[in-house]
Amino acid sequence: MKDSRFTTGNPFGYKLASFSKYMLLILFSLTTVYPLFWVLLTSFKDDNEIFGNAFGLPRIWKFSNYLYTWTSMNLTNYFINSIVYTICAVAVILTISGMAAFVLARVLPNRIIYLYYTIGIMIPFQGITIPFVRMYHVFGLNDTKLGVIIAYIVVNISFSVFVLVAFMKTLPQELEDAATIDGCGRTRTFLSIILPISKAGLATIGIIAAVNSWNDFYVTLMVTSTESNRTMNLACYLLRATGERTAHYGLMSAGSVMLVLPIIIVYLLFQKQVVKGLVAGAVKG
Amino acid sequence: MFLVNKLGGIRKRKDILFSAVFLSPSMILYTLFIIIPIFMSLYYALTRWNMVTTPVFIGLDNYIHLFTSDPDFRAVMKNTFIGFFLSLLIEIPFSALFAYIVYRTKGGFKFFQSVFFMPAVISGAIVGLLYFLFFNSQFGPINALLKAVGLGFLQQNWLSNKSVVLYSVMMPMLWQMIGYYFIIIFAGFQSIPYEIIESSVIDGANSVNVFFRIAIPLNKDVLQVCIILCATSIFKYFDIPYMMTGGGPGTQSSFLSLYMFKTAYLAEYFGRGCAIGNILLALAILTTVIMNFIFSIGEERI
Repeated sequence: MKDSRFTTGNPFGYKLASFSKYMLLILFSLTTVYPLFWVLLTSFKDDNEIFGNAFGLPRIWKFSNYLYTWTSMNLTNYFINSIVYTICAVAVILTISGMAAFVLARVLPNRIIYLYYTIGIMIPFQGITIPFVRMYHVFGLNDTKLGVIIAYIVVNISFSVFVLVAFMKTLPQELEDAATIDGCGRTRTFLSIILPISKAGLATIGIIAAVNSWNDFYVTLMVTSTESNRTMNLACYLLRATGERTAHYGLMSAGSVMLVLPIIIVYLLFQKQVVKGLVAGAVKG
Repeated sequence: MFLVNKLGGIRKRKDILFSAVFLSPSMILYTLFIIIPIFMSLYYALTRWNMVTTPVFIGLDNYIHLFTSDPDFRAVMKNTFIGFFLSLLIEIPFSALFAYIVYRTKGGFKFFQSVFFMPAVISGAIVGLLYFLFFNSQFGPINALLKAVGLGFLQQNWLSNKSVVLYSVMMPMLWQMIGYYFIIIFAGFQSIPYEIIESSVIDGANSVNVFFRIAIPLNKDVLQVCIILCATSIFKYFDIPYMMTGGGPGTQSSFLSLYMFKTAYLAEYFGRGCAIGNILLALAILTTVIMNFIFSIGEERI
C-alpha cells in the first residue's frame, strides 16, 4: 500500500512542512491518548493525592484501589455477563443472518423482502425503545439474560443481512451450480459451500456485532433492572453514581481502567481485523 | 436438474419451503421486535399512558404539547441541532484533514492509525465515565492545565456551568469519532491512483490544490457515507451525556434521546415518550433521505 500514498519522492520538497506535519499529528495523538493516560495515573493515587497532585505521577502507588473496586463492586458478575451475552448474540446473529442472506442472495432474491430487512438500518433503537420494552413484557423477556441476548441479536439483524447479501452476491455462482449438479440440496450447499467461503463477510459482521454488543449501554439499560443481569458498561454507571456520592475518585478511576482494558487489549491484539471489520461495514452502508 | 440463472430460473416448491425455513428465525425476531414496535409507537404516541393502566386515547395532544407548551422540548431540540451542526462541521473536516496529512507523510501511518482509531472502539458509557473524571473541576487536569499556562480565568465547572456544559458533553464525541472517520477517509485516499496526483503536480498543483481538487472530489462516496453516519449519530447520542451529567443542569446538556428517556422513565409519560421517539425516528429517517438526495443531485450533473 506504500506506493499508493502520496509521499514517494516528496514532490513538493518541503522539508519544514514535513516536520510540522509530524508535529501536528503527534500533538493530536497526544490529545487522543492523554485522557486515558491521565485516568490511569489517577487510578493509582490515594484519594487525598488526587486533589493535590492532579498532573504528576503518583507519589504512592496505590494498587489496592484495583482489588478493592473489583471485589466491592462485584465486577466479576458484570464481566461474565458481558462475555456470555456477546458470544451468544454473535453466534446467533452469524447463523440467522447467514441463512437469511443466502436466501436473499441466491435462492429467492425477492426485492421486497430485501427492502423489508434493510429499512431497519435507518431505525435507531432509541426510536422504538418504549414499545420494544412493552413487547418484551408481553413475552416475559424483561430483565432476563435471554432477553438481553435476543435484544443484541435483533438490533444487528438489518445491518448483518444487508452486508452479507452484498457479500454473497459476489461469490461465484459456479461453485453452487457444481454442488447442485453433484446432488446437494440447498441446505447441504449452504453448510458445505457457502458458509466456508463466506468467512470474510461473516468476520465483518461478527466483529461489528461483537463490538456493538460488548459496548452496548442503552439497550441493556432498557432491558435489565437487576444488577445480576447487567453488563460492564452498566457497572460504569453504578461506579459513577457511587463514586460521585462517596468521592472516592481513586477507586472510580481504577474501575474505569479495568472496564476499558478488555476492549483496548482486544483492539491492540486484533487491530487489523477490528479496524477492517468496523470500517468495511460502514463503507458498505 | 434445474438451471439457476441471475433472473431466477425455475423455482421449485422445495426452494420456497427452504426459503421460508431459512428466513424465519431472523424474520420472526425482526418483525416482532423492530417492525411491530414501530407501529405500536405510532399508536402509543396518541395516548396518555403510564405503563400500568390501559392507555387513554388523546389524539395529537402529546405532539401539540411538545411543540407549543414544553420549553424543555424546545431547549432539547436546540441542543440537538447545535450538536448536529457542530459534529458535522468539526468531525468531517478534521478527519479529512488528518487523513490527508497522514497520507502525505512518509512513515508511521500505522502508528497514527492505531492511536487515532482507538477511542472509537471504547464504549460510550466508559468514555462518559472517563470524561466525567477528566472534566472534574476540582481535580481534573483541564483546570489545572489552564492555570499552569496562565489562562486561569478560563477555569470553570465544566460539568455544571450552564453555558459550557453542552460543549463539554459534545467534546468526547468528537474525541471518539474523528479517528473513526479518519480511517474511512484515509482508506479512500489510499485508493487514489498515483498517476493522477503525479500529473497534477507536473501541471503545477500544490498540496492544497491536490486536496481540494483531487482528493476530496474523488472520494465523494466515502465522504457521503461519513456525513450520513455523522448526521444520524447525534440522534442516538445518549450514553456519554447520561454518564457525564445525566442531562446537565436541567436540560442544558440533554439531547433528544436523553429527553425521551427522561420523559418516559422518570416522568412516566410513556405516551409522550413515544411521541418524542417518533419525532426522533422521523428526524433520523428524514436526515438520511435528504442527505442521499443532496448527494444524488451532484451526480446527475456529471
